[in-house]
Amino acid sequence: MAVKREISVKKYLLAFVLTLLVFSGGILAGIVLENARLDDAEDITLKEKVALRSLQLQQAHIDSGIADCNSLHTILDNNINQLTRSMAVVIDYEKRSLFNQKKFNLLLQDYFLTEIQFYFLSKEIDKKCQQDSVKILYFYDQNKDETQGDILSYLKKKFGSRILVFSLDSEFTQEPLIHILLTSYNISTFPAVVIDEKVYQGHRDVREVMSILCEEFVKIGVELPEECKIVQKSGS
Amino acid sequence: MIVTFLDIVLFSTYFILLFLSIFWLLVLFSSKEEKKEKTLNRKPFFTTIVPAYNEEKSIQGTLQSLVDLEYPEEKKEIIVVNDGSTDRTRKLVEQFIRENPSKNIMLVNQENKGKGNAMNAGLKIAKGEYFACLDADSFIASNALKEMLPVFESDENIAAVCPLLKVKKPDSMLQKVQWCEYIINMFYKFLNSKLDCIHVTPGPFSVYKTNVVKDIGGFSEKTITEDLEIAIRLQKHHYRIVQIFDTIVETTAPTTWKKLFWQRTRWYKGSVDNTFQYKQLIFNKKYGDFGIVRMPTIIASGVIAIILTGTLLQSLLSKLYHFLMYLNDINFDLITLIRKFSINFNFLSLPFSRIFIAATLIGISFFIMIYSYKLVKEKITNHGRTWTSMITYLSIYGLFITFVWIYIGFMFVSRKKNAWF
Repeated sequence: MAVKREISVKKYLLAFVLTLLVFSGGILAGIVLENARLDDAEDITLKEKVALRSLQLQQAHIDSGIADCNSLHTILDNNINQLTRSMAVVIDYEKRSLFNQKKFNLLLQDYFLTEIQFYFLSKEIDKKCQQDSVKILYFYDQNKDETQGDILSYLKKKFGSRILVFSLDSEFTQEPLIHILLTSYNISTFPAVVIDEKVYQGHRDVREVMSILCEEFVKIGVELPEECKIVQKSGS
Repeated sequence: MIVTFLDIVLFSTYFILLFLSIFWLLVLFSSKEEKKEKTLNRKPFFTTIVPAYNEEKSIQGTLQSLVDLEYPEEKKEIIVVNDGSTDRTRKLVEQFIRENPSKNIMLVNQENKGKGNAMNAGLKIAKGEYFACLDADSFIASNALKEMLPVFESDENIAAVCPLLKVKKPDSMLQKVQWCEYIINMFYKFLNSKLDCIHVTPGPFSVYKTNVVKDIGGFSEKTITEDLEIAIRLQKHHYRIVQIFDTIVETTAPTTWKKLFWQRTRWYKGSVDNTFQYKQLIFNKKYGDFGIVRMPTIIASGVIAIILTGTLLQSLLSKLYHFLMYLNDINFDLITLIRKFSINFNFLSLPFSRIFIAATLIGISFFIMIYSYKLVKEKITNHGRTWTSMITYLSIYGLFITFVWIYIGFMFVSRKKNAWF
């Protein structure tokens, strides 16, 4: 005598349907969340554009005395810091996006353009006002597990407003201007750093970048940070 | 969106776990209840087999708990099979027999041949219509037979009845964690019992129908987890195994992580070996839910544990490696990092999907824990066994068990055999 075996078909089906329902709920929540991220990214982009326009206007009227160089430098530094933070957020949104990839890509393109505009504007400001910061153009490859970006963030923490870092994704083919910049600087290896029009291709350690920056600080005549004095001493 | 391997693993695992959780919840709330006869209409002869190998510390206590069983003296016998003990086990049993001459206790001495062989040696001379095995490190409640034997009366297809297992006197944190684990395992067995899916009849006082076990060939002597093997074999022959909660058997739990590791390695490796041995049952409709869900999940649980923890560890180690590389790049200038530390918190950047998955799984785990305690009529804070034990069980213990599974994976790759470590 043996027991009659049963298969709980109804339970399996119901469990499967309920699991699908939970997952569908998750996908719905994902769509809502992604739309919220898209709205947030659009807000951020608008804010950056407004900040850029404001700075452009101030730079244009510097000769008339409406704006002064000191406040222009401060605003530029704040704008770039904000831009870097916002860009990290938009890149993160773009990476997570499932349904609005194209829109996020467009926003990102807009962002890179704004950043490039800020870069050119900072050079324009330097022409009218005395240069008080070193501009670093940083081309990264997001597919590489690299620490160059972290090194630059660290140096930004160390030198504060003395350096301005403009990060561009070398793989972002959607924006031709990035490609034009890469060609004009003759860059083929990543990561690459452009400091004072000089190109440094491949990974550069913190000492090397710091040494380059210290030389630049001397050139532009800003107060030399303590770290540079140590680097110069150890170099000599 | 870049879908990483980790994402695929996490979502697939989550889907399977969620599906199984919902399935078992449906089983839990289904109305099927075991109809148990409350009283025994007759008193069948009962045999207890005690296989003992170097059990001098606990053998007399074990025998005392058997002598104290509330059952007519003339209807029960105890067979101690001394499996080549090298300590004082034999002398202590002989002394116990001398002190309890009327208790129908027999001692069989043999060379060390393993537990399966010792069980068969006892089974050969057992006179009982029903018999139980009691490991010499376990202690039985006196009402055991009154509660367990009537279960057999309710359905002639029932071949084995398992008692409620608890850890005896959990003193250390590790034992308290195992105390939690045993209770949760009882909950799983309760669910499995509802679907006739029990795949193990634990050594401590599982009661069997003697003629059924003899008919299917007795205990396996090839495996060291014969209690797992016999259960699957009973299932293969379409017999039922029932879990009850009215009888408590207390067992001694390992006191060190090392001992626990080897015990669990033996158990889980035994489970996997037995599953492979009876692979024809996997996804076999002939065996109902046991073939469809129970057999595959024995192996799947290990595979999921290895993949999930492996992938999470890989991701964690990769992040740690990247951070160390970064620290190395900046000459370990932690002072600047701490002085200029700022939090760029963005609510919308939170990994909601992973948070949701973790929250759901933790929620389900807590539900299972709380329901388990309710089922076995225990309070969570009983005897100082506090929430700490539960949280430790959920966190560290899970990781520990994964390492056991990883080691079993290694045993498979290196073709290492299961053994008493």
